[in-house]
Amino acid sequence: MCLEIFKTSKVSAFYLSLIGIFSAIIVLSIQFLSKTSFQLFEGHLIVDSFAISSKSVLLIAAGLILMLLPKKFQEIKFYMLFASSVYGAMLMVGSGTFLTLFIGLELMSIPVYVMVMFKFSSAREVEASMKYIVLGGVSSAILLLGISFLYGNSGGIGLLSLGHVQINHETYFITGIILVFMAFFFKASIVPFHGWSPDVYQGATQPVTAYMAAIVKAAIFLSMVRVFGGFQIPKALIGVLVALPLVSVIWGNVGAIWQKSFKRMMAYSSIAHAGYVMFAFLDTTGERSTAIAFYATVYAIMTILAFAAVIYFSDDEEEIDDLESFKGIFKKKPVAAGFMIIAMFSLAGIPPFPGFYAKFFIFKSLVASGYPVLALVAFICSFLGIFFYIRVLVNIFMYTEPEGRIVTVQPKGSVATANFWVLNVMAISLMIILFMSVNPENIIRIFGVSL
Amino acid sequence: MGNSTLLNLVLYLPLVSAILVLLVPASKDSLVKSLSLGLMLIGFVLSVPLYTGFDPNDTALQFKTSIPWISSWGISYIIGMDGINILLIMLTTFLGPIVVLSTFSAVEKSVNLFYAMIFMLQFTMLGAFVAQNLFVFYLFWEAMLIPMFFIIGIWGGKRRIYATVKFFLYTALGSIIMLTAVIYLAYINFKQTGTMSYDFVDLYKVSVSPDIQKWLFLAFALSFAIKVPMFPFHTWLPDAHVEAPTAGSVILAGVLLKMGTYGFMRLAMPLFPEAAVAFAPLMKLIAVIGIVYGACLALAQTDIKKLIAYSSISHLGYVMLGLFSFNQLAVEGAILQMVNHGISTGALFLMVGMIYERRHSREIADYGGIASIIPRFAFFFMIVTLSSIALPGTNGFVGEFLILLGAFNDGYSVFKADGGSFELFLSSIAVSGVIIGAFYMLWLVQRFMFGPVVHEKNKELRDLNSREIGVLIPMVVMIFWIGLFPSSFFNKIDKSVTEFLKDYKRVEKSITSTVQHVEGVQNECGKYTLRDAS
Repeated sequence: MCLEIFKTSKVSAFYLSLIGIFSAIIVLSIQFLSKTSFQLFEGHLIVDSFAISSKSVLLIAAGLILMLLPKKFQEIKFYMLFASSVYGAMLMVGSGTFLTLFIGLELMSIPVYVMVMFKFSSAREVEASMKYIVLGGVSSAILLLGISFLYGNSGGIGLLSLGHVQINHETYFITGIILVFMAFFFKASIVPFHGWSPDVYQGATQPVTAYMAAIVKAAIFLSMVRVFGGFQIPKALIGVLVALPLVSVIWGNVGAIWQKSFKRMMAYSSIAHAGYVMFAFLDTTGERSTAIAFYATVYAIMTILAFAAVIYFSDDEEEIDDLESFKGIFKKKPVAAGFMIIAMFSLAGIPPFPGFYAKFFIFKSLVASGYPVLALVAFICSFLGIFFYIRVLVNIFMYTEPEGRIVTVQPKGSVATANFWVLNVMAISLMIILFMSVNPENIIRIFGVSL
Repeated sequence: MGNSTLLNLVLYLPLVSAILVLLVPASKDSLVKSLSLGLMLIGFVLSVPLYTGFDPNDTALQFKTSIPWISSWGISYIIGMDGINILLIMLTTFLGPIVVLSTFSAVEKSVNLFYAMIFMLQFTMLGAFVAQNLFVFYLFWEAMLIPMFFIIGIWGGKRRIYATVKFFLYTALGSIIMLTAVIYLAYINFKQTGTMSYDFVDLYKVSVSPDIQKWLFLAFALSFAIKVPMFPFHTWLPDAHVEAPTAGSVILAGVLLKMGTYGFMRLAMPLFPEAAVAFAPLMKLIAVIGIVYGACLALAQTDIKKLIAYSSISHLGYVMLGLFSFNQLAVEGAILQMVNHGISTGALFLMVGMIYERRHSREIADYGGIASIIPRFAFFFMIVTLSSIALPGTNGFVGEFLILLGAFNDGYSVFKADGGSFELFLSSIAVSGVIIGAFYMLWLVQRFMFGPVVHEKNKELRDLNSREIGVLIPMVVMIFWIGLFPSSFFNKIDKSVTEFLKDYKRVEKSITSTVQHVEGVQNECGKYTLRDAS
């Protein structure tokens, strides 16, 4: 149902897209309140409370990003790409079989390849897009291979049955699971499959980077819940699931320290965050799905907030991306700088911001599942991350503007219209973040009832 | 306890104030300032009924609020007061208006943001003191870093960025390790009782095996020791103090450092009593090293602010020594010493800030002989100095005397029990801190205020104006009030401390008789001092 409405927005412009997203959210909330639950197309597509709440998260995030798009992207072609990508993401979280999952994944990824190089102005964007296509293609192939192994084991491609499938050929089964995990690791940029993300993130325009960091990532996390939410991790895999996320957390956090570009820094930060999320697969207490979904939600919103603030920093045409040029920006854009405080501390996991609750949730389930030492190590590694997040704030607040830079006073009119939507984005994310900080219980419960 | 709203009001007023202050346009300086002062005063006035209405004979939580919050994680929002946090809450609300008043002329850039940060700090500190749920406590504990980070980083001195990042990373590292222990403890509780709970009362009852207790105690202790700061985790403090603006230093010394010692009292010790007793000699050793080492470093400083920062390390060493002596005298002395240190050291930082505003130098060598030029300043500085070196009649004496007496009692009881003289020896060493303390403070006064006037610039120094005197008078009143009539303060905390010590089977003495004894001694000493002075 919600999908139909969304399709109509494809042919329309900005406002129509917004209206499309908005009405889709309304439909979803009606579905949520009436506790709709059914399966379509012989179980290929599932509409249950998890799908509904995940889709709402993705749609809200998509709506926010839509408002961030600069003028040069405001074309019907771009909206088509955008809409079909979001549609793919929603298909993924609602998929009941590997078939729909794969279609959703491709539908989500392929438009992003184009979005990265849309209206490109330098070779860098093309390069980023190429890298993304090649590596994305490889990961899709790996996913397909994994699926075929799993099919070889059980003769079925259902997702819900994965947890209690009869293991006929153990090698097939384990190999299949490993390959599927690998494909997801590729998309979620877990070390050692992370190499593409800094380059691609840096190559794209900020709103598109935000789209990749927030929505694509969130969709991957949420669909992993679909696939592995109730799945008992085989013993053989536990070592890998301890090591890779841990390495990602360390790599991401340490790598980010050296970055000079904001987008690159966020890429490394997203590697670290993907690491935290993957820890949840070690959980044995049954809180895995809720923890991941909660984390994905929080992560998407705070990433968008961070990008919105940076986009607001930029003066109309040129993007500000160099961390050096953040220096003293607090004087010029105090409001956006204020939002940056929330975004950075939230990403760093400092309470009372929702990033802390999300991290707390993951580590709580880690301790409860019998990995207290791992939790301690992971916590200390997450401490490494604090440094580069606060460095952004140090640059914004504590340095005065470097000398020799010409301060251009923008004519108010032109900036105001472009920034109006960005301000809106910040205000909406702030409200969501406040809501989540004051009462995380609600969000937990929304995801808690599902699956 | 129908009065739970009052405590919530006191707690949330600063948060509301922060938002209000931010809404005032930054250009309206004086409006921001008077609004902040007014709101802080309201906060203090509201907190007075908390103190007077506190029933010292009731060891249960008073003014308690308890509502479920994140129920799927078993977290409730619980706040309340008892004898352990009452004085610290009062100290926080008391210092609030003083800090605001003292910064009227010191802060120039982004005034509304500055006061908003002060209010946020006030909010988080109060929250950490009143929280009775470990999760809520942790939220406030960690959130406290954010406003302090900005206060040092934006309004600080030359090396402010280095100092604030160091401060932030140091304390955040401790907190993160503590958080793991928090989760683990809650999980042990879950395994034993089958319900998830972070309430202090529930967690106090958890029985943890001694081995795990040790690790958890160390995790908590590390976090608190960094905050206190205890030797060898103290290196962030001098940097933070020196670079922080005056208001930042006052809050840092006045309240923030007490978070660490309060954390020991509220969490590390009662949660893991066996580990606390096992580690007591070690903690005492570190405390005594801190006392002597801090004092010796203070001797060597040429920067006034740094000198006071090192003296803080020494003073807080006494508090830790008192806490780990496990007897009524020492623990009550330690609580009082926390308040004393907040007032005396806070006042010292205020005065250094005042002179810095005039002369823009903190080097002792740049002054000398200023007592004759600015006598009012010299008068107040002398009183505060004497309080800091614990002269009888001032607040410092009561606290330090009780701590040392208690530490001796404890050391002696250990000696009697098994002949171990180590703790007795430590207590004796601790006394030397008093002497070195007198030495560096009086030497500071001598170089700073007396002698010939060497620098021409100093001849034009202005004396204190009425606003500055208004800032200092409440501090001086408190110095003498606590110094001369400590029993009214002890009454409030007496029962709670007894309750606190229930777990530790050590020698106890009737506190009231000793306090009377102390007051007797003081009056005697007071006579001599007065005679000497005249």
